[in-house]
Amino acid sequence: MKKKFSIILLVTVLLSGCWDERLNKNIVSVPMVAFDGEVGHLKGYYGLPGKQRNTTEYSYITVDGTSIEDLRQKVDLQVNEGIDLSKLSSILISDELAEKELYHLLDQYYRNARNRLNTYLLVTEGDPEPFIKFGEKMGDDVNNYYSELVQGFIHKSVFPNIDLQLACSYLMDEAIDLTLPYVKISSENGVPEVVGLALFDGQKFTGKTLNHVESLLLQVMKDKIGKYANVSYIDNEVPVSFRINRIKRMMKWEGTTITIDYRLKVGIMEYYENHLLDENRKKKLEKFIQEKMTSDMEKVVEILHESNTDALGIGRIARAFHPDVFKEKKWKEIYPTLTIIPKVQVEITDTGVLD
Amino acid sequence: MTKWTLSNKQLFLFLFILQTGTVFISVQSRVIKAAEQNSWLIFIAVSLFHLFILHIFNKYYKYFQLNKFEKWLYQIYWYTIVVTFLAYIDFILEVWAFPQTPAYIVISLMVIVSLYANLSKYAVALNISVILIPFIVIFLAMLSLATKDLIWTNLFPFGQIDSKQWIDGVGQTMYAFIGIEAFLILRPFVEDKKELKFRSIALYQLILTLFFVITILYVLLFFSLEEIKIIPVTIMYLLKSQEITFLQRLDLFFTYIWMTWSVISVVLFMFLGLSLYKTMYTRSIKFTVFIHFLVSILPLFLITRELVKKSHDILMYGHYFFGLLFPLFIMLKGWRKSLREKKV
Repeated sequence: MKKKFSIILLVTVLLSGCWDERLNKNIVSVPMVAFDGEVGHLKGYYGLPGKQRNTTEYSYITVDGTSIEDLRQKVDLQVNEGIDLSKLSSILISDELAEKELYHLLDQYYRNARNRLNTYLLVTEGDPEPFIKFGEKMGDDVNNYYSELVQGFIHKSVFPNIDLQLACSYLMDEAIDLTLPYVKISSENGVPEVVGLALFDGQKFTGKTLNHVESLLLQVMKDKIGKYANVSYIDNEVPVSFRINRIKRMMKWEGTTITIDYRLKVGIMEYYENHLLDENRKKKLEKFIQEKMTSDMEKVVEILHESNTDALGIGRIARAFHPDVFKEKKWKEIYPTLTIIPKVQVEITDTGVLD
Repeated sequence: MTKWTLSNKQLFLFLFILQTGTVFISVQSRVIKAAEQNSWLIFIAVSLFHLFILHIFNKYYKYFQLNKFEKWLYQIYWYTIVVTFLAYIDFILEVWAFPQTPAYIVISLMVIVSLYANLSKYAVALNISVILIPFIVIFLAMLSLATKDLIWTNLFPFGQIDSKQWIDGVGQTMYAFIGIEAFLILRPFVEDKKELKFRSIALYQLILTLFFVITILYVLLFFSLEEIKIIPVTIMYLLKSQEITFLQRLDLFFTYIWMTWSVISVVLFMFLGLSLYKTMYTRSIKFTVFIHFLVSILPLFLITRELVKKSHDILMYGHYFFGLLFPLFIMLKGWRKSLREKKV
């Protein structure tokens, strides 16, 4: 009896894998896609790395369709094998398209269990086709070119670590707004380059962006810096570069006025005037940095207010602790009425191997 | 009926797997949808209530004497649970892991494990849960990968629970305690019957509560409430969003763990039903095969999103009756009967 059961069990176990088998030779992996147009009249670009689809060269397919799934199905018709998006590392969306409801483009990626949720989203300045076409020059990096670009800038504290899953979380939460990497094709050498961050108001790209210095400051203001957060200023024609080692953030709410105190511990990376053991010189430099950072942060707050982008997630804190300020479904009207005052205190704790 | 015993630890492990298996991936979103930031508080309150119930069960289990009709009622209830769970397991596997594999293959595979365990010695069904212990640890380790992404402000505001949240939250939380009546079936077989102290029961309930509350908090702090409204299996989605270098799809790995967990809970429910059957009839092999055949066929009619949801909702009412009211009624009946016998 036991022997029979063992055989049946073994056979069934072996059978269960057959139906859902997906061999690599039967699929075409797509590492990057790009979209332009608008829902109803979308244009999709699907990058297909070499060594598949009977070719050793990189190529890409352009299709027109009504929705993201429609585009995918049309690409499927153009390849012998089925396309596979489970290794998709980046989705590029044109700025024009991002100005429409972003979730409408992403639903298909959340709905299918095979899709990756760690894919990075990027907003492109203008037509995204050149970004996909650039795959021809990416060589072996083609599978992860844009995702590694984003990760690099996450380490440098320019981009927040927002992948497809987190983007959905932000899009569905009225108490925080999304910021996504904003890239353009360099007019000098035709290479994709980072501009900074695209600012969203709810589901839509506002058309406003932060440059990469402002983007870094935004990560500092969120207390979400990556591995490195390096800043450079000029103090009376003397360059001073420093890295932010530690951030302590405290918020004080007085009605609709929010004062955010930042206490930063920084390490000097470049300052040829030296003699930072001299207390006066050190204090003077600290004062310069904190004044400069405060004024730069004020500019960032101004841009965020202009675009009605709650990238700092003030709404989440209001919802949690200030029910008198936060009102469900009304936060986007309340947020622009808030006064946000950043104040920076800097302490130089490290000067490298020199004093 | 064949004489068998089990230790305290075996009893609690049996109960833990029975109560967590299958439901532990969906209970979080159900409870959070109903009670939002107060979900974990309501869960703790309901758990305390069940601790009280377990204490009552432990104190008066001797009066839990089932007649033939009641035994059949319980069997039908447990076999219904098994059918519902199998439909749910296959539904989840179809969405997450095996979209092409026919349902009858997946369900047959699971039922064969149960059939094998229930045709073997009692020790097989009683000890099969042991293989899950490392999986519990692995699951919690996998969950902890999301710690860095938790948004602690999602926890607030909590404490102000309105009546609707209480009613809905308590209703959905009950789902996590389906199978509690197994305690009454197994308790008479515990070695050294007098040795089961309240402290042990409280410790068990604390572990069960912690397990569920941790998962509820992770889901609550990881997703926004709006997201939770559209994601029915949040734990799976949470794990899917985690990236580790050596495993591309953590959710798939977890799916297999959960499948094993669920299959074992099916084995245990079938064991409960068959152990009652064996107290009535000496020959049980044909019935064991027949009932396994039946529970492998019936789920095939339930595998749609609507039916899976409806059948799960009905299970909650089953728990109210078979897990709480009916045992208390039977114990009361038994107690009165014993009083009458004493007088005589």
